[in-house]
Amino acid sequence: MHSTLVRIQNVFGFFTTVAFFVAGLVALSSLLYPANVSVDVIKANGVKIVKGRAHQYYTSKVQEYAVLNFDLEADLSSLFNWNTKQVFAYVSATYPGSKYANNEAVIWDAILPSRSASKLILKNERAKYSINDITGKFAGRDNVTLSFHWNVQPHVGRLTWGVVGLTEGVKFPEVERAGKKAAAK
Amino acid sequence: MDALGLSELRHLKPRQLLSQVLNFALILSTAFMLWKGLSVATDSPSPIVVVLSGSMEPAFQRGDLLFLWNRNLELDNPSTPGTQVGEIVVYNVAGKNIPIVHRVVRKHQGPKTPLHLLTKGDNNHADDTELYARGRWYLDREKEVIGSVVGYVPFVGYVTIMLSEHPWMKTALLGIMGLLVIVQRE
Repeated sequence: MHSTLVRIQNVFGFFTTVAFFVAGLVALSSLLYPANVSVDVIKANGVKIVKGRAHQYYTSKVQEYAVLNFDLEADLSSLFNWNTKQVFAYVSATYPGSKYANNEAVIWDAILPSRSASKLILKNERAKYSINDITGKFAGRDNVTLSFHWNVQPHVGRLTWGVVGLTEGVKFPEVERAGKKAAAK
Repeated sequence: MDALGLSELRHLKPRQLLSQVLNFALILSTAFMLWKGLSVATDSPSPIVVVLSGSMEPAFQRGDLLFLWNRNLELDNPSTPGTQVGEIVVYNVAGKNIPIVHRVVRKHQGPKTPLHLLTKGDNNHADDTELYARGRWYLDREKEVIGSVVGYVPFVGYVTIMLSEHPWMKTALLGIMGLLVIVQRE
């Protein structure tokens, strides 16, 4: 009955049970830390549309790209507790359309690994990603709004998301032509 | 048999042996039912996946276990919230049999069109259009995505990476497990 094998089995079984319960408690403990994110400014400046070649190597499709800058001030420090592995912060632009009515695209993101990196102050930050629409064209889209999101990645447990700060809509302008002809060819 | 350490098998009566085999079958079918039950509850063909690449580091490392939820299709029902930008989805590309775990960076949806998603790995510089089937620029949420990540357990899935990278371990493990179940006595 008390062979080495049985002992090993018991120890391993006990270890997994304990590990399972500790992980469960740690995951639940995240509920004790309410998120209290403050976002002060979020504003789009200087939206412009340029024409460019699609970056997939096997096509020569030319389409419109939207480029913009934005201001953002946010404090995400309340999202960091002992069960926070990282926070993924991102800014998205939402805009309407006719065939595709709901469109949303991430224009900027950042991985915040610790509390010390959790205060974001961005002034006239250039969007990291330019947006191209699924139809290839932006003309006549009113009401582009920006929103700031975060995704909390725990060490163990449930992933959570949050969103705040819709700006007032801005309009995608007409395509800028000067200097972009060569790229459009 | 003695040389193999299986002498215990000889002492078992046929009825006892049969009940051990039944016991083994019960364990297997329970595991199978749990898996399929979870699959029905989450509406995903594969409700738990193991991360195979480092393209989502530092959020997910190789071997981490992810729990998926696939009832957020955003089709006609407005009461169920749909897949949003920033969610992490798992998708299978047609023709490649590797599930890919990446973050949604763009979505386009119309009243008569399926929900189109563009994905990107946090640790990759470019988005995933190169990974999609030729000529495709977006994923179809309903057809290609098997779920969004809702839960996370680190490292536990590393066993399966070991097993798939060293197939002999799989055979050995299965053999040992089967033998133990049959040989062990109450």
